Amino acid sequence: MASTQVKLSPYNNAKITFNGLQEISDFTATGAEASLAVTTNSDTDKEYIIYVSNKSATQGILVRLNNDSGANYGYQAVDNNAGTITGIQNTSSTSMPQITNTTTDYFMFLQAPTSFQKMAIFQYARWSSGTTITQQGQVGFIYNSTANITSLNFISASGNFASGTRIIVYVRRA
Amino acid sequence: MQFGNLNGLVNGTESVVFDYEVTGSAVASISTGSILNGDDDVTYTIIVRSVDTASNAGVYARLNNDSSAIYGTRTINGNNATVTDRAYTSDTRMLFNDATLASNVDFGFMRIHAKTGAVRLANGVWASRISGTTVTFVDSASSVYNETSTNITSITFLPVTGQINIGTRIIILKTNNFTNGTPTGIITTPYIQGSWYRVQSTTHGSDVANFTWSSLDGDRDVLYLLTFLYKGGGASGSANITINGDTGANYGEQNLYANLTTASASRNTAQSRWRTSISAGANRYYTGYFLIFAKTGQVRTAVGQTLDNALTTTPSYNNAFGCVWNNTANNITSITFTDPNAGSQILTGSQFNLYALRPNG
Repeated sequence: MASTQVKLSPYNNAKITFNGLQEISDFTATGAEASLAVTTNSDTDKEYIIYVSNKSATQGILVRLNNDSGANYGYQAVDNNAGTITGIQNTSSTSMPQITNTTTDYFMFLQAPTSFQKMAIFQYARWSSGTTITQQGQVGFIYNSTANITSLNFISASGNFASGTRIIVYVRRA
Repeated sequence: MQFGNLNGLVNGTESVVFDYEVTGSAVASISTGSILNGDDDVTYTIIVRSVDTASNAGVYARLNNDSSAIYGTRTINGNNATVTDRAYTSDTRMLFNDATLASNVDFGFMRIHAKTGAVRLANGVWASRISGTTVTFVDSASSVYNETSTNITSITFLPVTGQINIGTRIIILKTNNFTNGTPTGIITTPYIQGSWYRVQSTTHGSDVANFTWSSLDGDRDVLYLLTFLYKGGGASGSANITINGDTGANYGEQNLYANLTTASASRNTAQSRWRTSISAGANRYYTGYFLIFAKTGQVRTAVGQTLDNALTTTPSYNNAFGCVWNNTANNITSITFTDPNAGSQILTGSQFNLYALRPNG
């Protein structure tokens, strides 16, 4: 079929389905929210990309699948904390690695098919002042469940999300 | 409603907003012009493949052409068997590679949160000083632009020394986050130019020893994003990647990885494949991604991150890879995955996906 050029304005009201990654949630905290639940369906959702920008100076953000708070997560990180480079492993975590406070951005690829264990890779950068990256690195994690993932849950570790905290979720569904 | 291929910005996708390849003669600088809107676009993925004709060259960026000393970078650097902290503060630029060398190439990306209201942070992976089957450095990198209030409307790229050389390619992806209207219909289209388009996807319904994706067109696709989650492997390793059926000693890698509390690095040259893991075991889980620069003209390069040899809640190695396929001339038409263990060790349910960018359609 010949290529058809369709110019879409930002406000055209058509749902586009195509063979790629599409946004399903874009959340910006006002400061009045303590958690966010994004509805998913890993029977049909093949993979996710998740972007989190935490603007809190005092608390982190926990990420859970199906809001499972059991010790069903494990992770291995390569971490650079103020120049000290180490590995960090946890085999009984109650969430994915906490997104730390003091302005941290992280970007994750999550694979969560039903009937398989769930795994993800992400990177993080934590800043506290000036032009210094205080802490950074990469993490791989595994969630010990083969269940259908029906929600991605983001929970403030204490109190509410800081105003301006941004969470965006993309999924491939086609 | 079935459409042909769409060409336009579509809400909720990531798509090419800038694509520049240096041809003909080297240039002193590259500017996007005032085409960006960081507050609307939210995130940019900046992908740089640079070709170096001098030592300590490479390409860096300035947001809004801002040359103030308000940039910082920190990386975990792997160089052969050495792991090092690289930290730069009060810098005048955003980096995309480690120290370069004449007649080498570098490949990497940085994904930046561009919105005002806070400092702009970025994360990415770099592979630097690549020649033949040698990748000298791999960096798991982060950076900060310590400016909170000025909207990002342009990015300028400059050479560390000399000029930006022929063969250098810069592609910027933006996320499209328009206000949603009320959908009144559904348009189905094969792909959207400049957005990641899934060209291959395999979920195995039975155990296999290997499989191949054919009918690829690397020169058209330019960049591939490979993602996977599979179960399998054995003591001899996990699924390896070869290109165009090439099983000769034409591959190389530089790794950075950690297991338990130890961070390490290693380099392998003249290999017969790319690996997807550092460690392996039977019936374990492996996941990760590779960003591959596929176009002919230079050696083909890739950066990636993986988690390997995991089961229940116990992961094994977390890895960053910088990879090279020492072939400059052959269009990529196939990618093969092969498990090196006896029997069929890519197990049922394993899924592999390949997205192409096709910035030129």
